Amino acid sequence: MLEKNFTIKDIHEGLKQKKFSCLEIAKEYLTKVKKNKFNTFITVDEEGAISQAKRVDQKINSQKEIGLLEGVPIAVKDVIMTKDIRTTAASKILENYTAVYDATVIERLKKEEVVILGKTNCDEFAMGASNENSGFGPVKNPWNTTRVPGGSSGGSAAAVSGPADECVFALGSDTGGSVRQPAAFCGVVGLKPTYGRVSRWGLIALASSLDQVGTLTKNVEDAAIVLEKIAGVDPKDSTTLDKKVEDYKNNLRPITHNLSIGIVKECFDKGLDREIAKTIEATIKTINDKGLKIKEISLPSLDYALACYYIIQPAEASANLARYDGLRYGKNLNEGKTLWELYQKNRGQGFGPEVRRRIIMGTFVLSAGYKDAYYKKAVAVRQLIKNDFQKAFQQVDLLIMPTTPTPPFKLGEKVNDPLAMYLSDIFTVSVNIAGLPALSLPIGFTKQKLPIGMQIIGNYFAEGSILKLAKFIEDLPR
Amino acid sequence: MKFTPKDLDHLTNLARLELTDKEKKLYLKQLSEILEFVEKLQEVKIKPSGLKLEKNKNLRSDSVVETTKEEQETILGQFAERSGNLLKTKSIFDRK
Repeated sequence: MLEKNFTIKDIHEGLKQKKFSCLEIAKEYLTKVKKNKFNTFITVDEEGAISQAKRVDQKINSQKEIGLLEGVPIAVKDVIMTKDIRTTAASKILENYTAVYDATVIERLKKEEVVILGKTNCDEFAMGASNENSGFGPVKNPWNTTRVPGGSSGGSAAAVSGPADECVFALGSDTGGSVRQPAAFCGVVGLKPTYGRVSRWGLIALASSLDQVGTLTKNVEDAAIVLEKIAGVDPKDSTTLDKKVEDYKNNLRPITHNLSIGIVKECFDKGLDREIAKTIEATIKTINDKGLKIKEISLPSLDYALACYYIIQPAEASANLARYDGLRYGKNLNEGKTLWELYQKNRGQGFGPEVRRRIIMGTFVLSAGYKDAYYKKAVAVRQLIKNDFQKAFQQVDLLIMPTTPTPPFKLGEKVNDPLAMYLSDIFTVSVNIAGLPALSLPIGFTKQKLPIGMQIIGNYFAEGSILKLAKFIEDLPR
Repeated sequence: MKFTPKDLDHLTNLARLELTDKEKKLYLKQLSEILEFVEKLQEVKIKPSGLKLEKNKNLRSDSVVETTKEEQETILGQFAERSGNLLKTKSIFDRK
């Protein structure tokens, strides 16, 4: 038995000092993955992982230098394309789909010679906050298996979490909180970069103006290491910006003491769980005592963020999901007399309930007679929310908000009440609406031993400052 | 505003989604609740606006990228039904 909860550097040092071989490591993780205690994986690529591990071992044995990510076992959310590996988006409609190319993030990580263990479970087409909308069954929260792991990147977050430890880090995607919310529920670090920082090429589209690939890691340093490797302009995604990728990992320390931090007061007004509020307040007090400047900030339009999100997101989703008809790929039931009927049957039965609800809602807000009142209104409100954030960032460098209004809830608790489920995203969606970067950091546990996350939000491309503050808090004695 | 069964039929037809009667009943209730929630935006006194499309300078050239025979076969192999390299579907026009 090897030690548990290795970080990227632990693996790297261990391989270099020959404490273990890459094959040993890969097999150890694969054993845990295959036990599938928490239903975290949809597809395991054992053969691919083993052959990659052997390649890394050969390189080490021939005395060649290895890179920091080389041989590190990782997991990938099943909405990210991995060439020749089944990629389902946790949907029955893509149950037998094999990706024909690699997403840019995968291409970049393969260049770093990581070991891909497999594809993680998530909410179908990344729509959900509990991972219960998966066509492959719900994921259980490894801290307490009667609770949800959050969503939609629930499998990725659960696989990285301490009690599961099924991989060193995982990729996720975040459209309205889908990296940060499960990170908070599973007690891991979840980073959603600026819109345009990381390529979306090969990420199965949910809502193209909101989607961003993010990371789930065991600590802040690993988030910095992975971001550095996956970030940067990509000709295949015209929304990526040609902005220099910083040396995040070597600039985590020291904290800049004139860094000013805004506390978003609207989040603490109502509806926030008392234990979460207390833990965040205690963290704020500690960093204030350590000399960081704290200021109360107001984001008046925050109150409209969730409503704005649940118009724009379904609108874009309904357009993006129009391509799934069961003909070019995916499941074809081959029922119905006409092509029209075949579409209706393939889509009606291939998509799960939440996906269908959002397609219908999206179709409604874009339909003739309603587009101005709903979709175009939401686009206008989106600008107000962006403006509020910009006003805030004229006063402070970073913002602090809770990641979630409650600790992980019980499996089944909200599954029949979609609106209650949507409210789980209340603190995360505004960041996507504005296209900003944000990180969820584990800061403690409730009395029932459920993880608590706190969100740090920065201005565009301020990932460096976010990671610095996160590292500073992570290093505080507990 | 609340969805009527007629609205739902219209929308599912536009979206090419077949629902069972049981699902229709459930969705009418759930979607009306969601709609009521998002109507909160009507409180905001702001004129609806469309997306302003800025000129994107980052567009790549629209050119053919070569693929290997193997890659082509992976793509074609996922067709529900094929005739050589063509995708086979039900007839597109109604023959009444």
